[in-house]
Amino acid sequence: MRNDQQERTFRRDPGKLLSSAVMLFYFSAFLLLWLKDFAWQAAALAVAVPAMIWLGVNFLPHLFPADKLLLSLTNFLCALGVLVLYATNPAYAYQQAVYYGVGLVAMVVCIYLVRIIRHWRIPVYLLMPVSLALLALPLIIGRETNGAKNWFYVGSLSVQPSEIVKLSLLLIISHFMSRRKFLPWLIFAVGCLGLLMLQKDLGTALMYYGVTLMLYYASSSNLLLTGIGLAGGAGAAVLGYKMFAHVKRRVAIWQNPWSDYDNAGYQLVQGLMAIASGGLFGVGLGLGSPRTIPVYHTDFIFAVICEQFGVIFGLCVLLMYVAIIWRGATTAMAARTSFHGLLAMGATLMIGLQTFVIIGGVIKLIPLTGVTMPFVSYGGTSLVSSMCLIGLLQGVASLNEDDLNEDTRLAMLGSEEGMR
Amino acid sequence: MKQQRYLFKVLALIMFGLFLLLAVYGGYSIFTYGNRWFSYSRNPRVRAQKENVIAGDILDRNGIVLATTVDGKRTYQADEAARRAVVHLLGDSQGQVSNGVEAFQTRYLYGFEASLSERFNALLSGQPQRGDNVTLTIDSQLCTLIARSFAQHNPGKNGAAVVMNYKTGELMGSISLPNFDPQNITAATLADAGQPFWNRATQSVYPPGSSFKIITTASALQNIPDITTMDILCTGGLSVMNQAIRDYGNAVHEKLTLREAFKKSCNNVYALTAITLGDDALRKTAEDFGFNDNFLFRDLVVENSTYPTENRNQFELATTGIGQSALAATPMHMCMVAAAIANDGVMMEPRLLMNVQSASGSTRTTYQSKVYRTALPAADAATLQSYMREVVKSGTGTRAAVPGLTICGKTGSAESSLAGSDVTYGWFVGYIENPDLPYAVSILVESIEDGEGGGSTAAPVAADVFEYLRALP
Amino acid sequence: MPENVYEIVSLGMRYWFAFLGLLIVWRAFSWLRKDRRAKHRRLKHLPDAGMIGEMVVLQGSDELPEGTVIPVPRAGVLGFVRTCDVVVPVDGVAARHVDFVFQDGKGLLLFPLHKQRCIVDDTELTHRSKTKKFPMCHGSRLQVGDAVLRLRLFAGLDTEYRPTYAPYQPEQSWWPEQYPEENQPAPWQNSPYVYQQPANPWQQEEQPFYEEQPQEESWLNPPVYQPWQPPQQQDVFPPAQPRQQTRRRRRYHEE
Repeated sequence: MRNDQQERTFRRDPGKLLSSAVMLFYFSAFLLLWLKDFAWQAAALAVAVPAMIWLGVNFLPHLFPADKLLLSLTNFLCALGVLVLYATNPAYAYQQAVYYGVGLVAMVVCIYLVRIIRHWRIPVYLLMPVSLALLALPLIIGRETNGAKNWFYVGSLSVQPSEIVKLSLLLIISHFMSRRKFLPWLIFAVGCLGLLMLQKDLGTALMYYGVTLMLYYASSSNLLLTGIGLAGGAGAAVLGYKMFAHVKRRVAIWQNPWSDYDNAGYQLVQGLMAIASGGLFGVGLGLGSPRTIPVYHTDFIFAVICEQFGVIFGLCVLLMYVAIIWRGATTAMAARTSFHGLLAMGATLMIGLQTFVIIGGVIKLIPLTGVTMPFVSYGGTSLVSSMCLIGLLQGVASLNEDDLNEDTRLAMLGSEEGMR
Repeated sequence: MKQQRYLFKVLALIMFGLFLLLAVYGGYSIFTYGNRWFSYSRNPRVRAQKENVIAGDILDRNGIVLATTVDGKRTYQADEAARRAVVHLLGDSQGQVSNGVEAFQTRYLYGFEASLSERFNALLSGQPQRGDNVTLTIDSQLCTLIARSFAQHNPGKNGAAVVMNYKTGELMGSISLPNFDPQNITAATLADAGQPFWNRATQSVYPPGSSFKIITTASALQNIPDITTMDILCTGGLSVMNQAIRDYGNAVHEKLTLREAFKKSCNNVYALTAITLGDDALRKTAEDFGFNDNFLFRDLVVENSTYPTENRNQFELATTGIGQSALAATPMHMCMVAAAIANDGVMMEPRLLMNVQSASGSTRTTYQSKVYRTALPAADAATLQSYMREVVKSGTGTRAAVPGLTICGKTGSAESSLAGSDVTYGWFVGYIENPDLPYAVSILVESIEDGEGGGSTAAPVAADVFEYLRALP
Repeated sequence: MPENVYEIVSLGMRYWFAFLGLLIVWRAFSWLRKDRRAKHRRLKHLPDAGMIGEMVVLQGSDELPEGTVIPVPRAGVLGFVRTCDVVVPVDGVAARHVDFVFQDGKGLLLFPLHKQRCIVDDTELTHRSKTKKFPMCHGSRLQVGDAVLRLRLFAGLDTEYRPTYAPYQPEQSWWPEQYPEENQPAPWQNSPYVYQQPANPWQQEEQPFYEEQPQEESWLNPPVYQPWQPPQQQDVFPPAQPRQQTRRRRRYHEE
């Protein structure tokens, strides 16, 4: 019963202002950085990054019914990583910009995989041993950094397999959970958690565990077993606290970082100082001294954002993640099959939990664990895998859109109104 | 599917809750602790700013310049005694004293708060940026006087003193001994075992001893009916859990009312009172007075006071009633306690900053007085005022009396073991009962001699302070 | 650019960045809200969106009278509680009785939860392998507890085969014009093209307590004239129509 006026309002693209604001933001920000020392790289990025955003937001939807809001926000966050890295250490920023492009391609590939693959049985059974082997690799050929042994090197390229296995974990558990099979995913998840514990990568283990438990609860609505899983997780946490010295140290730092600010608590104290010195509006882009924070480019990038742009902008970034979660949950609820719903929700929860774990660690809400901030942190594997997660989400969203269009078409065919 | 869809919604709400927690916790902690984090002496941003900006001046309430920058060097008052007296409040430019004004007000002193137009003007004029001038509520001469008087009555002793206005909470003066000369900090000063950088008025906690009887009395007045008219028997040695609690000098007071017990500072009576009150009632009153609270004052960093919550038995309770056990409070907090009694039960937030002015002379901020909490009802406060008046008139605190002024107070001698040997601390907390001279005082003397108490060591210093305050215009 | 000039420019620009950040967040949330409304408006016109068919109640209860039609989604749970996708408030149905999922090319697969009893076309699903063998098709009958439901699929969904008693044989008319003799098998019985339901070996035939002996015909016992009656109508449902042109695209081949 809509008239033409309403039809036009309904069809009008609500994202035009949003995507232009995003592009304007990066254009002006890189232009400002260019003013600092008139480096041609900044001028090039001032053109390239908005162009990449335009490609990501306005061109991709021509290929399939993609979700433009999700695309805008994801692109904003990725480009924010490039911007902040350029303001602190340009060498990282160029690499990150390359990975950003790779991430966009990986996202498109993931969308097509979700759209094309009908039978997930064989891929899933293939993925299981491959993922476990990949996760075991750093234990054999890896190098220990920051107390965790979760990296290995292919040539000069460093790879963090837990970021890749994240994707297959989602596919595997949502496949088996939607088929009401209990043992396969349990074995896989426990295997993954065990390997992560061996690598002492506790932040990622926490994420895997949380997502698996939450998805199990959603798919089975079995409170008893979920409770048992929760209790088991708490028991494992206590056991880990008793067993690993570095867990104890992390918890001690979390409780009072100021007691040992020169050694153990240095990171956290510097991060808190950076956030505090930013104030409401920040110290200004390209000013301040963010490089005094030890790992400013990965774990503490949120502190750098807060220092440069202020607490208000930090809150905006937080709200963008909230919007992504909202969108992801809506997509999952609209999915037609259990598998696709679980896949979409799993990707959403993965991004949400990862963000919570790292930002909570930086602002001293929970003990700090070394996970990256999705999209923003420096790191090729992390950025590409986060984009792949968004790709899975986008794939499900595009299937939903296809289904709804098909339903509309059938309804129009069936109804007299449509015939006329 | 329907159930799954519903649970997806629940999971999404859980995630929103987690993010809300992030925002609320982050906002709260930055709002309350942000300035403390920022002004931390290890902050590299402040160090960088110090090279570019000329630090602003620090003035006292009478306009005396306490610290200024001349040719890029921080200089203080000419008189050595004067600059030694205020050094703990001011802090030093090296950041040895934690949370002095130099460190805690970096935001203003080093021009972090300068607005865009001010920076633009500075750019146009081509001069280096100047930080803001900070005016404190303290009276520099009073600080010097306290330090002199303290050294005169207790030569060679360590200690602290706090004077504040009990109606507004303004800090009039505060000293900590031993102190040091900020103008020439030598290697010997840095290695001093007496810890001259330590601000004993706000950073050290001591057992309050008999001065805690103010709070025990307040609790008794609120919780035990007819306590004012009751006769209590002092046998000279109260046995609690096979341990004797004795009075000062093993005195036996026989029958006493609470008023007389307060005047004579009778330990037996107060131990009995504490046992009668019970731990919960006493703790509640102590927490009303700010014990176990996280002090988050706007411009002062004060160590938290503790009322013990672990290992409570009858003996511990009895000793808590007379201010021993594991009780701990700063001289600043005990001054606030006396001030609360004087101000009819209303405890004001102590404050140090009067106003901040930019280099060009415009006022950036002015601080206002704020009520910290209501410690006890006004009627009970009035009773306590009369008890404290008795103490100075004819009790343990007679040496604090000043002719022509009504002085109220309470003495205390607290025993504690420090590094294996027993140490006694002498206390005097008190105030002037006069609406035109609303000042409260708290004096602490460390490791006093045997046979001496707060009445003979701390009270004379208080008398000198009152004498000075009376002469104020 | 000199450092102090850049400092002032950068300090001025931070308000612009904060404004843009707030603008982006505000636009994103208003977009989310708008989309939510648009979706509701759209789904109001599509009552069958996401449904594969419906269950018709053949035998129900007071709360679920016969003839009620319940829409069936692609996957879900049948049971008596409100949170189920197909709510059957009838005696003998568990809170969450049976889990179902529609598989393209096969039919509606049923997975009884917690060993609940579930009978599809007179076959009890006692094991997971049976579930695979006996999917529900268009016209299949489902017995859960005291309830009997019949599934009707929407056009365009294809299933593997038909139940035995409603075969679809397009070369013959669906009901023979000439009634067969009594002991002759029906034309579709023993047909190699039609799935034959195996006899249940555990099903015991009812033994009458007293069986009347047939008596010889005599004048004392004349034959009673019984008019011919057609054989009792079986539970037959008109077969699904052959594929329409407007066929749904096959996508969900997830097993």
